[in-house]
Amino acid sequence: MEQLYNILEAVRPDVDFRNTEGLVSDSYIDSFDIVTIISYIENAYDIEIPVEAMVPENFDSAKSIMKMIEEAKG
Amino acid sequence: MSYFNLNNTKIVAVAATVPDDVEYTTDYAKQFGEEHVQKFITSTGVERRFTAHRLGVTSSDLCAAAAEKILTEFDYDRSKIDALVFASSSRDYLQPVTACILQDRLGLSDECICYDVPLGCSAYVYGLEIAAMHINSGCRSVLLLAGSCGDQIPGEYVPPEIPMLFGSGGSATLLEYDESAPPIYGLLRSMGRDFKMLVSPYGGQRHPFWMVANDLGLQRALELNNKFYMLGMDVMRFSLKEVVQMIKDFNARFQIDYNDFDIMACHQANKLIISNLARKIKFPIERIPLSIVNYGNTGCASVPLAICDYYGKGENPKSSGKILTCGFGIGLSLGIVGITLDPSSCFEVFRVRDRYDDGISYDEYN
Repeated sequence: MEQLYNILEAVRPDVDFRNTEGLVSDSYIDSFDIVTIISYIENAYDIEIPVEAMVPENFDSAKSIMKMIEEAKG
Repeated sequence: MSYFNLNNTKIVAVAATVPDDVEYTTDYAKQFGEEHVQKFITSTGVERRFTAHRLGVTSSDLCAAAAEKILTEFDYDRSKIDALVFASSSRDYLQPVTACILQDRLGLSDECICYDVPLGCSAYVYGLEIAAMHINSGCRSVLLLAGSCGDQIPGEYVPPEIPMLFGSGGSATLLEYDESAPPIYGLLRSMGRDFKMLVSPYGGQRHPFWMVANDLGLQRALELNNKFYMLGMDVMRFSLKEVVQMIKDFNARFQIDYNDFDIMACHQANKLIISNLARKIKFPIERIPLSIVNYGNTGCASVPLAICDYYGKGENPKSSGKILTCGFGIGLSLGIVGITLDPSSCFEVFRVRDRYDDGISYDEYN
């Protein structure tokens, strides 16, 4: 999880990912952030996030992002 | 399946233009905040762009200047041009088609086929296929003019939505019959089911101005008229799924080896989409020119403008001229086309100031 927090904080250092939910629904991050996060995650975890997973609910919290990563690992 | 492979079509020259009015993204720091502007630059790549509205220049003005450049520099026999295709959704009038206006301005013959193809960011790749089809059906030469301009808004007005992304640009590509020319080949697709992803819903016949005014009042109708909507997340998904799949299908069909191509002249949607697209199709990002940095997203003009920005300065003398062109966007509509051109026949992007005087007056048309 710490690795993910480091990635998220590298993309948006101004957002408190450890204590914030509603990242997308409350407009903390936008579509540009999401695509940037995906490219960081794919490189760091050596996985491919399916495009179908690029939906707001998968990026609404660090926990939901981690869940998406675990699913992509298979 | 909309694969095609057409012979006998030589690309004689490509020219691209922008309005002579530059805006820097950082100019908006006071309005949108320094942090937002810097993040915008990082995500989109746009550091500056050229805009048409203060000069009153239109897409057809930019395309006409590009065409004049080619025809003059090559001292080209204009009577040979049997078709003019204006590939743009930035039309001069609701009626008639802008291609006919351009035919008159460029002094082309009455025998010239003229029509518009009002697509968006796929207009150029569709135009290449259409031009090659005309050549193979008997036309001696075809002018493909592709350009986009933003709304003709009042000089100092700044629209509240994404004003920093879109730039204006025009282009001309001259093609002619030549039996020894390498093939033009590609794949075109459309996905109308997702049209709401990129749409200007108001002002046409489906939701006419009077109906919106009747429902929402005159002021709101004015605000909504011609307003453009873009669902950013959906566009990202489309770009990274459907465009990627199209390129994979094209590669499989034509047995493409990326090493054979100088560049991929890709629609300049934004830097983030381009870099992720390159990553997913495994095309070297350093061989996808990022003209968006200096010109913004110029819609229909972005592919030919990227070509001219890359070759026009003569800084790549060992180039083969083999390139992949890829356009995708509103419609939804997408395509990829392989072409070969002479890099020395691509002109450097140049600026245009002149607005065409069409002679229309309020006194006469009232």
